[in-house]
Amino acid sequence: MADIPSLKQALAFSPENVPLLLMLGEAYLEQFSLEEARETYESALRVDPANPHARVQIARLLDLDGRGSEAILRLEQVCAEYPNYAQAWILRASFSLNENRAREAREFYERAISLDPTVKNEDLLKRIRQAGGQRVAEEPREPSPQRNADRQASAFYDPDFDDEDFDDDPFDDNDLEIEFEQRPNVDFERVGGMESVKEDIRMKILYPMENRELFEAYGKKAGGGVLLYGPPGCGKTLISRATAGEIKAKFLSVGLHQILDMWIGKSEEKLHEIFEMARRNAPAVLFFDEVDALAADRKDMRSSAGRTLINQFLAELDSESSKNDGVLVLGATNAPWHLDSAFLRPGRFDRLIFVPPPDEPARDQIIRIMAEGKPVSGLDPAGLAKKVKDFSGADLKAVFDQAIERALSEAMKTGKIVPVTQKDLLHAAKNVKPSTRKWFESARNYALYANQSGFYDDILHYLGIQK
Amino acid sequence: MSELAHGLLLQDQGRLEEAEACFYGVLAREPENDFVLGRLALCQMHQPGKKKSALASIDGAIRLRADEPFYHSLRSLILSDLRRGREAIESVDRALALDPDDSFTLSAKAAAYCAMDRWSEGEEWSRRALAVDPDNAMAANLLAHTLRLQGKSDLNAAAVARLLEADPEDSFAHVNAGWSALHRGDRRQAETHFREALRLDPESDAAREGLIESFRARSVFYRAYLSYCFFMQRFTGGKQWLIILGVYLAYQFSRRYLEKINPLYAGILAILWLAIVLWVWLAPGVGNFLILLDRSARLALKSGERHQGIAVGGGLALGVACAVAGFFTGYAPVLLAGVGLVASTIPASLAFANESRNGRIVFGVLAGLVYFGTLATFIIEAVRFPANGIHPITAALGGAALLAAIACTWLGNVRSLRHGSEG
Repeated sequence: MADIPSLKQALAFSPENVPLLLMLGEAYLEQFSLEEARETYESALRVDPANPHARVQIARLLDLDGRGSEAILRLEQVCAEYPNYAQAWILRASFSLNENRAREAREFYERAISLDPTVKNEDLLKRIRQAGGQRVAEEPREPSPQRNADRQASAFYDPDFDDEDFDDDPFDDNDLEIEFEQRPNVDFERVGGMESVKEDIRMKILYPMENRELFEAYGKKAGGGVLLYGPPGCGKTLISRATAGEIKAKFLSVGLHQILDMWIGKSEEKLHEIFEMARRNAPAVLFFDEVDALAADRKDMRSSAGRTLINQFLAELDSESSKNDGVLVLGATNAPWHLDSAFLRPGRFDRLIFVPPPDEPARDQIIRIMAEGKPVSGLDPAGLAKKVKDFSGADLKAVFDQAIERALSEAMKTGKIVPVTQKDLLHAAKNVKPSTRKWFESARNYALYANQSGFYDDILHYLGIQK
Repeated sequence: MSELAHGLLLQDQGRLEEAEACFYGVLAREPENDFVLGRLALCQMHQPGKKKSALASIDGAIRLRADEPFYHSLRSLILSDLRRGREAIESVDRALALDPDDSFTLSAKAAAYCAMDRWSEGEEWSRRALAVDPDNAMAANLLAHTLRLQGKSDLNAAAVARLLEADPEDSFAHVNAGWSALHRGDRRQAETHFREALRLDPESDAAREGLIESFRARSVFYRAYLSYCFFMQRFTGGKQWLIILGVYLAYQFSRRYLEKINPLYAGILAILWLAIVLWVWLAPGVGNFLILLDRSARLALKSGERHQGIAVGGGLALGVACAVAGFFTGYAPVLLAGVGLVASTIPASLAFANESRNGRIVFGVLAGLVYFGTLATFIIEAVRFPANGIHPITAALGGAALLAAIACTWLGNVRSLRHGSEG
């Protein structure tokens, strides 16, 4: 981005240069000089009243100023006049999401992507998905058994497997409202810190997959199930996606709400469908979040309906080895002690990986990511990371939220953007108590008193109780 | 269905906070759902510090459906937990009017009597509950509990055996068996049962506390203290006071009588009395100190209990050592510091591991006062040493510290300073 003085200098010579005005507007926006940005875009509109970019940016600024309705009205006009302008649809998706209209947001997002794939915004898409914005139903697609068969035939762990022939459109199953994330764009390199967890995953998942034949020679299976456990908000989902990214497989995250159904037998059916879908789309990583609810200890279950779902889950995991070939089942749980012991037998979730709270490098990276796009000045991520030991990602978010609220209240008093400083963050960090402590209190009890099989040794190591 | 079903599952799994959040989610959509309010109350009553919220929730459920005996029984159980026995009886009587033969309600009445330390009525009502439903685990556990507290050892042993036979995987049955073993003085058996209870339910506070008692009971002195506690538990609060007053009067009478025979005997009796009184206050702290010396047992202690062990056991050991050293060397500052440290153990035993927040503050301040008095006395006398007599400031500070320690033995009997307001 060109610097503001030189842009102003250039504009002094050419005051009606719209591209220059737009660049200056962007520069102002980047440094959160919202008033100046708006004035600049309005200058651009005086020269070119129909300019869609300036109009979209003004809508964005109006929204930031709390004038959401006006912003939406202006944006709707741009969309109506320039239906092929992807930027406008992306912003509209964001506005719809803010108004809790996730499905509409998804529709606008898809439209923007179809017009211009470069406007893709993974974060926005994720938030839309989390808010329940599934992909809008399309024309019924012909199932492609040949395609899936080809893919299955391509060895899951074959290093020469070339996936170029397969397109990268997200796979949808509209009945289940679940969709595969095609080759997650996250791998271990993009996950900061957590080296011990990564190493654990390499040893327990990746190397066995890479040396499949060697493992088979010893009568061991390379696929199967792996259970990730640890305190909430510490990156179990992220590391699962990165694992899928590492083995270049599709990633399907399954939540409890996507399976549980009030009709008897329907939940089991859905679970089977999900496994079938994963098998059809192999190589795939099937990720079950909160697996303890699906694989709960049967003696905790009051209804027989719950038990049949557990039996179904066990049956799917036990499926003939050839059927589950190429499907890696990852389960994540905050409460491994509530899992039915049957799930921990060989061939099911027989490998355990403890995901502790983010270590210092991981916290450093999380802090950097959280600071992105926010008016933070003088940030020292490493310094802050040192002060927030045992904080989960969610706790760090709370730190940022508190610091931002403080800066916002200052900004409201002065009427100017007040940046969030390192001091504000450190101050907020003192007020936030790490949520992982409570988890470790419970985990410690289980590790001390119910660790007959050595299941919780990692926790004892982490707590320094066992050397 | 899923949010309610998920909440019920989480509740069954003992993940009460998460279950509570689910129930609140359901209530946001259906605020008039009495079933969810009832489940919410159940969730809250088993979480520390939430019993009053549980009472509000069950009151909400009763407002919506007053003819459900379960809600009244549940309300009675919550009130019992809050040690509001009379109201608990009123509530459970309402449930009994609606359904006189409900085993759960009958056992709730037994629990209400237990909350008032009326063990024989507790026994009677738990037997009634078991007559209706012999598989009622709560009634069976209450029966074993009431039998033990009445000192009916044989009946208690049989009740515990039945409990374990009915469900050897019931953590609470093992807790009961553990206490029963401690009552018999069999601390090894007690430890085995408490460990088993913790294996079955690692988050059971009752089992953890029992395990700590079994660790403390390794000391013969602590076992004597436990026997005293078990004896006193047989009686209600008023009777306990009568016994204490009776023993005190007997002590005063004996001391005066012995003074007439030989003042030395009276002195020995006074020292013995002081040691016994001190031991009653210091036994748990000293027990924790001894547990701290065991590398594996110390893991069972919570941080408050560890601090209590250090302040009381460590303070007592150091204090006695200083007093003895000061006495034999004739170095008064160390002797005074030793006496001060011994005195500090009384407020310290009440300042840590105290359920009551107010209690922690009051006894913490008093402990601080005694520590300050001890330190100041030591410094002043060390600077003055050798000097004749005690400096007036030292006398005032030392006197204040001793008074503070003695005041603790009275304040320690104030219930609100020993027990949390929410039970």
